[in-house]
Amino acid sequence: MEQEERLVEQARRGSHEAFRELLRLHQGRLRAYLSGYIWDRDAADDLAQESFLAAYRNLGGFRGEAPFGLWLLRIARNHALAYLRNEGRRRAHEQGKFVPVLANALASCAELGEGDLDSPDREIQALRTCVEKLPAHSAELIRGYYFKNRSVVDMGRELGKGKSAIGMTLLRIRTALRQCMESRLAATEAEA
Amino acid sequence: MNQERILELWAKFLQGTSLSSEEEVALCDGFRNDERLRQEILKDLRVHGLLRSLEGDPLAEEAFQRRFFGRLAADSDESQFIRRVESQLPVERKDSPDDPASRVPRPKTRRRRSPPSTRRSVAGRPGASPGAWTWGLVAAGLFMGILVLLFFTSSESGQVEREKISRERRAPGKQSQPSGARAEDEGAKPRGETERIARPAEEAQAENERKRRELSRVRVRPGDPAAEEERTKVPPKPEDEKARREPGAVGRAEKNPEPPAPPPTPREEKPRPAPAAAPGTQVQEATQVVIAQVEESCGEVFLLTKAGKVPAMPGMNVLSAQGLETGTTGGSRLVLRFPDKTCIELGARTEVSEIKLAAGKKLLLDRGTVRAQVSKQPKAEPMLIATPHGEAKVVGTTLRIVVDPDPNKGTQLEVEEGKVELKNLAGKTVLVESGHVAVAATGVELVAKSLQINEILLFPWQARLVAAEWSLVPDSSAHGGTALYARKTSYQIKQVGTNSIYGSVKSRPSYVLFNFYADGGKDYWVWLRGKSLPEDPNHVTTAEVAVEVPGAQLNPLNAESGDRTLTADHAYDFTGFFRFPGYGWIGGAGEHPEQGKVDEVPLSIRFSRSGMQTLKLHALQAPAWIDAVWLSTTQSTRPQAGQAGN
Repeated sequence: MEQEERLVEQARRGSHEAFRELLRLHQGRLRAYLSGYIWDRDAADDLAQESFLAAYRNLGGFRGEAPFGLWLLRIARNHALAYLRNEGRRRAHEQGKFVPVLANALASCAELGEGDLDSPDREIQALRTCVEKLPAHSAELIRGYYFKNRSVVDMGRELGKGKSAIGMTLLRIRTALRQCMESRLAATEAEA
Repeated sequence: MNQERILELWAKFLQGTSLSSEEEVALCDGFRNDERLRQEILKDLRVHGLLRSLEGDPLAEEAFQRRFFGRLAADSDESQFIRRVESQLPVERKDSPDDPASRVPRPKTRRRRSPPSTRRSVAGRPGASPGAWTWGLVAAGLFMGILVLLFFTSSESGQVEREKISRERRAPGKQSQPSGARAEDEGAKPRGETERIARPAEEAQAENERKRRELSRVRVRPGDPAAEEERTKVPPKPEDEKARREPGAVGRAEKNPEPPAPPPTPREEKPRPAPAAAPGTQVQEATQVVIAQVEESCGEVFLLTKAGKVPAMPGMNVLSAQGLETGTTGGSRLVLRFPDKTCIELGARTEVSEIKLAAGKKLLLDRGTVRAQVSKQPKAEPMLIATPHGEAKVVGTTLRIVVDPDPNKGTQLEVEEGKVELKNLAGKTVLVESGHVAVAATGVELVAKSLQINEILLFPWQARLVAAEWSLVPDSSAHGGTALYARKTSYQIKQVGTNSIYGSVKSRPSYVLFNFYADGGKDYWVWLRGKSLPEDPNHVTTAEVAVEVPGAQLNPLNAESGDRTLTADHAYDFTGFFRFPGYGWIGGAGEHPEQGKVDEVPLSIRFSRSGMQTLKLHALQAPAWIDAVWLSTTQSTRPQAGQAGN
């Protein structure tokens, strides 16, 4: 934590290297947080960029009362909220379209989800453990799709399945991972 | 509709597949009406997001950081611009609508293109106050007010007169010939009225143009305050240095002698026939014109500004009279893009002491190598590259120009495409056509000779990426720090028994395209430097890339293991990159370690005629990284991993 404070101080004095280090330390959790609300990968990346830029511009206003990471996530949440509300509003006239409906629901969640801000680290840790415990076949699918960026079409071809089938299999694996993650988090909280 | 079906639609939506309108309606209804289902979907999105960021791809992280600092640099550049505008505010606010000076239409100051950032905010330093925008807005509002006032003032003369002013601005010095109804309308208005409005505008513009020319004549060494002072205040005298460096300018001066520059006099005392632009406007124009933008930078690369050397970063704007410098390390490189898409690339150990707009683009190249892809320029405004030994005049072409530190070796100009006129210090000119080279140096006859192309090295930044399969990514282990990266491919290699069946690559939608000059009728060995994921038993994640050379003859002896379909397409597959720990060279044919054919003769190709050639790369299996393509008439054995060119 002291190191982080030092980095923040150096960055405040204009050190790009210090801010690069802060960016390296926090970009994973920031993108994880945003990806939970923003389904479009490119948009999530753009918002992560905007959040870091806003943080950089406003370092002078960071008083150090909360950890830097939490402050950064609050900025990201504001950006995510603005994006979701805009998506909801911009496409509100499109009857029967899913995007504005989803955007509005996610905006409500993000507004209420102050508690989410300090959870990405714990969630990521729990999820990592759960992925390691997956059966080999499921782990292979998750690695292929999420870590090696393979398309469902490619994986389907390899396994002799359609892309819808692969999509559903991934959904089921995610559900299993979620349950595993939730139980691990509950257990950790109970221990604490 | 049951829950399973809704979840199926959700999975489809999440993986980016488009839904039919019926499916969207079903998904909406399910999401809205079933709370449990809604929670399920929201939680699934959360896990999906966490998974996406779980295994950090180092390349993606590096790209993210690079992009961030690129944007930061662009924002910082903009905030400096805004501060300069703010510094002009008191002057502008003193302008009174009643003051005739303020009625003069201001010359159009070329506002630089916005950086890629989508949000606007002042960000020069961390914590910079966003309140600075307020002043910017006030200034903009005031300026707009003056323009509106001006509009109404001049509107009394009518639309036709405004048109006339506009015509006269477009063709200063030419007497317009009104005809038809327009002539009648103009005749109805007192002629003096038109002139009263037109003349100040014209004169202000002429005055600005004259000053701009004067300013652009002075060669300023960055960081030299005395020279800076001279550039911004005192009209310069012609110097020997200028004559040495700008033979074209000397030639023009001899043919069309200009009146000598007036002696420096205080601005207030200078008689003005008509009200001129507000004080400071000229300086603003001379220093704020954005000429180009840094597109890529690798290694030690600097922007030479008035304040000194500044590290050049992608997205930075290059202003008029600024220079560029690259360091001595091999990988140092800088790519500059002009608004008309003209692209210049500086190699290592290169110094361009000044770039400016003076009747066209002008580069003062002191030393090093510049490769330029010049878009078609207006005939009267060619691009000029001035070196200590001569000057190259370019109207639109691809060329490479090398200034050797040894004055006896001089300036070598190689033209890949189009024609370039090269002039030496003696004033002799030669027209260098595509595939030819000429040298301007002391004691060397200026003639164009045929260029023998034996070694061709193609790097990622020279490529054009067609559609989405390939992208340029930063990669510190790649040559020059950048690689071509195919994350996925839609190409399919079918397995029938133990045989791989390749489909045609001819109509593939996405590929990498290189255009380059090569000689016809000679054999080039083809080498590809690439990287792959480690070998997997089924070879489905190992990199495989096809090289397609339309119109070229592939050496059939070497293409022994090539697929016939690919061969018919003038293409060949390169695989086996996984055998290297990082990047390594592959020669295409015989790259099958399991068959003991590791170092066999590489693929060779022969173009039917000399001239511009095309080479395409297709991703057959992904992910694949490629950082160089080498065509050589001499390199018939595998190059060392770090080798690039002979």
